[in-house]
Amino acid sequence: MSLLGIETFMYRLKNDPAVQIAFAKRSAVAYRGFELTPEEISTLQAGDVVALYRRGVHPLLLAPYSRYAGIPRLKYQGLLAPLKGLRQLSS
Amino acid sequence: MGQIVFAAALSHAPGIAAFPEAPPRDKRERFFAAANVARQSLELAQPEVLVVLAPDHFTNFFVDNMPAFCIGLNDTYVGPVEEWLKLERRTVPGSSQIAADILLTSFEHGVDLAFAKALRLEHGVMVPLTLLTPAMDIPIVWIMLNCQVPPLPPLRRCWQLGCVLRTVADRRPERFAIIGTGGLSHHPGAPEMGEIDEEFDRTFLRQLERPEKDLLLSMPSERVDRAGFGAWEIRQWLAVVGAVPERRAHTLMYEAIHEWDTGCAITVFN
Repeated sequence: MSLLGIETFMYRLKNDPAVQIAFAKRSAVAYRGFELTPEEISTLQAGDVVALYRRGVHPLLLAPYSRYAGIPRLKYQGLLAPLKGLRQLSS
Repeated sequence: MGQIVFAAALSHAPGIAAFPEAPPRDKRERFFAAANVARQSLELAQPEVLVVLAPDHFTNFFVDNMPAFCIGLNDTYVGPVEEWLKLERRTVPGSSQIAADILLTSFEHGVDLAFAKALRLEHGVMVPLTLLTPAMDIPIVWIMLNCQVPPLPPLRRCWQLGCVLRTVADRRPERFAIIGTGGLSHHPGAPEMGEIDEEFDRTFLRQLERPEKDLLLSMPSERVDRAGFGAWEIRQWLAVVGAVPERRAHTLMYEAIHEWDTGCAITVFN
């Protein structure tokens, strides 16, 4: 279980068209090389932004991921709204 | 001798480009009118190079290699990378020669910048350029400040970066413009997205108008954190003040624009 693995995947998804295409096709190829567990892949495939936020994913990676997962902006906000106050990012 | 002929700081919320019509008319008109004033001021100043201080939002940098500061040595830049911004993808000239001078000068002054030659532009640079220099014909130097992944460069270090820029501008023949982009309070992508800390924003802007260095640089990080991690981007603003500490900040506008999820401000330093 690796937060770094999840975030690395999201970073590549944001910036690598090949990963974007594979992710859109729901191809297993999208997750190759990221050392993700089956549970993590399942969470990413499901677009479960609530679980991912709870896991500690950086919001600046989660929001772009949500676009590729096909979650509209307002729905994304609605899904995360109950988690207000759960985490405060500290500098 | 060259000089800093224009200095400003402004918000770069992607909503400004992606959904400009979303805020109430009075708020968005105030924002775009102020941006217009800043644009005219920039044009009148006729800069020959535009230094852009802006963070990166996981486009060029990730935690596998996250510099505190990184200067672009690009000869040209392309952006924005975000298709959803609804901005045309453009090629922007870069001034690699001046960037290299800033880089070497930073070493001499104890602020060790990283460098990169193939940076791609995202909204943090492209939204302000669209507002202030839509022709995008002024060569730019982008300096990335890490405002996204702690540990962040301390406020004082960002101010010192501004001092380096001043040293270079004072020595070189070109006319410099400097802009810092980002902030003020916001929580991009987080459950608190849309919450804006007006008290923080207005206090910060008031402090800028009477720039007492120690007061600005001793701002408790806990207070900045409460304003949202997007408020970490005040580092760009403080770097600008470090470059022009003798000038007075004149805030052209401030609005808590919830539709853009950001406390939006535009400030020029005259």
